[in-house]
Amino acid sequence: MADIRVCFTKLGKLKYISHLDLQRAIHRMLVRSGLPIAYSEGFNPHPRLNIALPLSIYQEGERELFDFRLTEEIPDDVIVERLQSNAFPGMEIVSACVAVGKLATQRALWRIELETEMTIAEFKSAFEGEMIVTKRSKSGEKQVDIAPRTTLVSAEAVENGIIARVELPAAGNDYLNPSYVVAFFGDKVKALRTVRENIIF
Amino acid sequence: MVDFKKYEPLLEKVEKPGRYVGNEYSSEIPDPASAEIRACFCFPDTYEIGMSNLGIKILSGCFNNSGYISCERCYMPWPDMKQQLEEHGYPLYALESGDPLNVFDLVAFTLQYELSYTNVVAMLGLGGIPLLSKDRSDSDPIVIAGGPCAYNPEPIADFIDIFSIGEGEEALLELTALMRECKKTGVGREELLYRASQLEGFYVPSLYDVEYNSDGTIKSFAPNKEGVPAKVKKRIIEDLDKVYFPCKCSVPFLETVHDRVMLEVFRGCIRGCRFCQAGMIYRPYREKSPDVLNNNALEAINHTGYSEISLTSLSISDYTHLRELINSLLSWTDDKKVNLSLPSMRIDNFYEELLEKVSSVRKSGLTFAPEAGTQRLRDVINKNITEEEIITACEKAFDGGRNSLKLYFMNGLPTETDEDICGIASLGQNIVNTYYSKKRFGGGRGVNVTVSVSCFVPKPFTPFQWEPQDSLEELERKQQLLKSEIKTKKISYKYHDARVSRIEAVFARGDRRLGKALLEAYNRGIVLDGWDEYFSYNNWISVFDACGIDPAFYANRRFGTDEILPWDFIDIGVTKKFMLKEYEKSKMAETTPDCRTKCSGCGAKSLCGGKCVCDGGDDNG
Repeated sequence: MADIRVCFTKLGKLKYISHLDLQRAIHRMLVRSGLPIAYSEGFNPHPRLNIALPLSIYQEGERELFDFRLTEEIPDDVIVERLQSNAFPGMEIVSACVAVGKLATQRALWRIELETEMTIAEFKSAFEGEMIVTKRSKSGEKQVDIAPRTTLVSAEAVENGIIARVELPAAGNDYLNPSYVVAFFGDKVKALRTVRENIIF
Repeated sequence: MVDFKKYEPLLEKVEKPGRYVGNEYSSEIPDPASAEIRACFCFPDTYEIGMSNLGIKILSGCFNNSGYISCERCYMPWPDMKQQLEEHGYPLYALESGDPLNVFDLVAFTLQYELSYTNVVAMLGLGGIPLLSKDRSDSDPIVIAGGPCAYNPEPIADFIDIFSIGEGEEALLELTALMRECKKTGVGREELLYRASQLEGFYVPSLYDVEYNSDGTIKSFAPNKEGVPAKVKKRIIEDLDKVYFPCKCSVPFLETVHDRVMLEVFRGCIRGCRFCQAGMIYRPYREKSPDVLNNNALEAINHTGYSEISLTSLSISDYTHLRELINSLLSWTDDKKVNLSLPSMRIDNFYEELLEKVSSVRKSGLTFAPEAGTQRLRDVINKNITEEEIITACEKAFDGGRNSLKLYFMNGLPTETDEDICGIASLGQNIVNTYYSKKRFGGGRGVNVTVSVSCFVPKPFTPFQWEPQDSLEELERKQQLLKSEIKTKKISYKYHDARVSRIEAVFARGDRRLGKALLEAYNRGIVLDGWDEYFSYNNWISVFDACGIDPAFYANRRFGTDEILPWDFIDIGVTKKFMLKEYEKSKMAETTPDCRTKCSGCGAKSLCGGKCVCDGGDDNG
């Protein structure tokens, strides 16, 4: 049977929950829903589930995606209702429909709420030059310019800070965590909230 | 209620912040603002351990269903979070409201393990509650404690206002009804504590005085106020089918120790192993009926979405209706991809075919507990199993396709000799030989027998309560002796840190004078003793030195059978006379049959109107 693609939120206190723990929680939500879900084969069967992209701990998401499989056809609105009534606080089921194509994500739109004394002009101009950050990996630390992969979509002044929207790569082989954008500004900013607003295919 | 946002900066600096935010599925509680009593259940260890405790799920469920109580949860923070709280000057808070512990009417601790006492004291301190009961005023919470370690409440008595002795489902609601009444009528703490002492099953330490002999033993233990009972009788639930079971419990995000539905099949134990405290304090044996259990399990699985049910009771294969229960569970668990686990099977009545059935979804490990290596010592401890039964059980397991087994033993048991220690190694070898006595298809990996050996800790309310623990040196010598006796790589040998067991022994048989040591440990920042990375034996010895306490007096001394024991004032139903008789029999390696075969007259049936598993049997006590 067809895969169902679910759009959901991971908000509020859910930001303290790791990707692995979220995955287990969604498994249990699927089971509780009573929907005819398909299980994986093998030694330790569990509901077939594919979450589009992990969120780091402390990050929230407004339009996150997962695919799961049903063994019977069920109307979309029934799926949404059944999942929503078995969801946990912070997870809102935005929509559910038959999945079209693979969950091959390309980019993601992030909203970063910053506490800062920088002006909008100062902030924006930083995106025009090189943006060198230190990237840690298994092979050690290295200096990377993230500017070519970073698109500042908007920057809006608010009380004591700036709300920035940036688009960053979010593909399997190229993922840029928005924490690097924040890190680039160092002591000049403090991230109050990091929210993935949308995932782009 | 506080704005949880104020904790965000702390939560960003700690590992596993999910431990400190609540928010789990189905964790809603009645509105604290409109509740007549605000209670907080505190588990003196980490979230992952505390969320696995069935007792707390049951009791907080009872509270939240009462209609007038709002009950929250709190766990011992890991040192990183403890430090954050201290640096920000925030008291330890309850997960649901974020309110500090000191705003609650009732703060309840469960005492599961002696080495968690320092966490109890630390949580009181972090929660902004005066540490000592005597320093608390009308505006402070009433601090209560219960659980298995409350059967010897004395070491921690200075810190607790009221102990609940026995099963709490009915008793605690009597206490909260009293608190509600006192709150309405403006009755203060002192009078409330006195009235609590009048309820059955409650011990108020401040209403009792202890005097000591010059040799350090207890001279007298008596109430210091008229009308306070000299003995505190434990409470039990007579009909388990009618008692509340938490089918609608919350589902943690973090992986907890027991991350599954726990189905309590019965309370008590018909066995009577002489080292086992649980086997005595939970008597009389009472079963739930299979229909009720099956319905509970189905409701709990549907509500939580868990994929495993564990049948949790002391010796699950003793359940009269085990086959019937398993068959009813299996009628739906496979369809729901739910696994059954039976963690405590006895060797003498274990059924491989039953295990085959229960592991039809996922195959789990198999564990047996012979406890001792020779027949003589197994008779001393009244384990009532023979080597032949052990070998037969292992053979059945191997025939059923298993090639790995875990065996639990103890060292330092009363009357133990080197021969008994070597017996563990030869029993292990015999089991390995049993595997290779037939051609088997184990995937070419052969057999693995894990031999796990803990150190004997004499516990109150057991026939061995008078016995000394082996000295540290002797325990460690025996551990090494066994290591040298194991000649095959097919046996993996694991043993516990004897220094941890020694501190456990001090507090297990301790008295009120240990309160000073707990306070000193608190002042030195000693917490999380149950965790290897934080346990320090030398710190404890230094604490005892500073307080003028000799740990050997509690751990390594043979208590006199005519001595007043610190816990003598508690009546668990099982009589001291029975315990003494069993103690004497142990010295002659004489066994006592299980309760179903023959009533041994332990006295526990007095707690439920004379009805017991041995009903109709011969009470010759």
